[in-house]
Amino acid sequence: MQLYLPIAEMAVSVETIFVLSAVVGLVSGLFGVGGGFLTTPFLIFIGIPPTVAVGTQASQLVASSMAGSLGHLRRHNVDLKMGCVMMVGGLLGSFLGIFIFKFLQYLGQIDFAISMLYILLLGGIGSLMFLESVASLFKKKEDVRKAFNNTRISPFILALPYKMRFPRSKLFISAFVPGAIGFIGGVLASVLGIGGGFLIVPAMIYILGMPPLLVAGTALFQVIFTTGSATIMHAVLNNTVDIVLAIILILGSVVGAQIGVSISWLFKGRQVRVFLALIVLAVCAKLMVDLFMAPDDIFSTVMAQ
Amino acid sequence: MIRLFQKRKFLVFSSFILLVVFVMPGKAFPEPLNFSLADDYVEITGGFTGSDLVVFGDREGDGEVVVVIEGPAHDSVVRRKERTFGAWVNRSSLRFKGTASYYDYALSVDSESEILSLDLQKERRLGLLALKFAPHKDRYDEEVTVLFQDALLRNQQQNNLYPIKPQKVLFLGEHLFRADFHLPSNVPSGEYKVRALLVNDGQIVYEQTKELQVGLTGFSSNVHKFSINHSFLYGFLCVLIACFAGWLSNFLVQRN
Repeated sequence: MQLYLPIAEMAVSVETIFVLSAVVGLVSGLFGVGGGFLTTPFLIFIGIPPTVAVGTQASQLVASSMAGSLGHLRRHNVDLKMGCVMMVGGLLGSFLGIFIFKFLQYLGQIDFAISMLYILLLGGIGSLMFLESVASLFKKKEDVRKAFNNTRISPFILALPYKMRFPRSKLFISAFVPGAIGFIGGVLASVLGIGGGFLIVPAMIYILGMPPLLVAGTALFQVIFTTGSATIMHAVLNNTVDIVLAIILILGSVVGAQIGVSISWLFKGRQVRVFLALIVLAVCAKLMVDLFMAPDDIFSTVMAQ
Repeated sequence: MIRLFQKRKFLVFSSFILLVVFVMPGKAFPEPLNFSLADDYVEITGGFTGSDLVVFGDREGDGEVVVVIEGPAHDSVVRRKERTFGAWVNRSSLRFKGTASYYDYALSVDSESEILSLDLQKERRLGLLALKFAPHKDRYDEEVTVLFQDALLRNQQQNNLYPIKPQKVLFLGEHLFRADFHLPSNVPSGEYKVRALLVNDGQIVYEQTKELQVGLTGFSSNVHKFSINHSFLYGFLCVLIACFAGWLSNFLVQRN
């Protein structure tokens, strides 16, 4: 069924978008990743303008991070105080991100920048995941989710001012550190339409030294706000949030995630992680081919803003 | 689907009848050329995948017929990619003033060059050669500017916004003619001008212009207008809807 998107001003096939977001939802249900980093490139592949893909994807992430963090909240796996400090940084970051986005648009480089950043990002994560998961196939199983984090926090970070107590995480640390981590997440949300979990989560574990049990829930909690703020700003400054597209994406990802969670027992974690790494690398390769292969036409025309 | 088809047929048929009833009796003081549109409003609704546009007309004078559809003018930016460290990156651009957002035309002959001089084509914006794209600033020399102008035409043709070759004006008898156009799904909305011209002996002897509205209607239109006029509220509502959807999906997971 063809449906006309009122903001993108083009007709798309509902089934294609639905299946696509269901597949991403399934992947995220299986692996517990956000999936924003897959949906945006997929939307670009099927011809949605990159700017609309980013703006709309941000609103889809509001839904998925909301669903995820509610689950963690119920199990009391969210450090709300930490989440709020990260949120302040995240909101500032999403402001900066939107101006970077506007500036790149003005230069005519936004499509290139989105592709290039995705290539770097997916290439980096994909290869790390691949190496790690292949290595883990040969390692003995160990408990990944330890109750305590034994990471030694670097003395530089401990010396930063404006220290704050985070009772839930049992940390006494400068508010700037979680704020800065949130800030980077906010920039990524505005520029790329992703939650940035792949960057925030390791940072929270290795830089902040948070207990791993609290990391996912706290990260998701602050992603609601960064992607929410990115959505509003894309809507106000760019008019690139397509609610019709967003609703199809949300429905697809909800259905996909349900299937993913219910069939996850079918898969053994380690082999499946190799598979996810290969998906990520394949998307990266496709983006690279598009960017490095000679285009059909080196000229392109857009309606002036 | 069948009903829609019948509705369209009915419209085409009724406009044909109207033409016969109201235009024909005017023979006492005939206009050399007269035309009407089967629809003077093209609605872009949720299911819009493009639309056919039929122009009916009556030619009383002598000469060949040209029908032109032109969308609202806007500025266009043409960008050129160059290989930079292996990747293809936009490196130079040129902005053009007042380019037609949509252009299509139909002729009763094979090519406009058969009946009109190039000067006259340009003067009256008839045919692809007449679509002169004036650069905003004289940024490049003429040779490079021409490359950009050609690219603009080519890109718009690829987007189905400009034709590759003219459509045909078909005569249904000695006087009555029709021209069939197809507006693609990415057609820009706005106020269109449809012109029909009678060309005789290299001169334009008569011209008639009608307006055609192409616009979003219904849900699409409301969403589009709301997103522009109340963009903050629109963004905020998008976030609220997403939050609700997230809560709902979590609620459903919990119940299972």
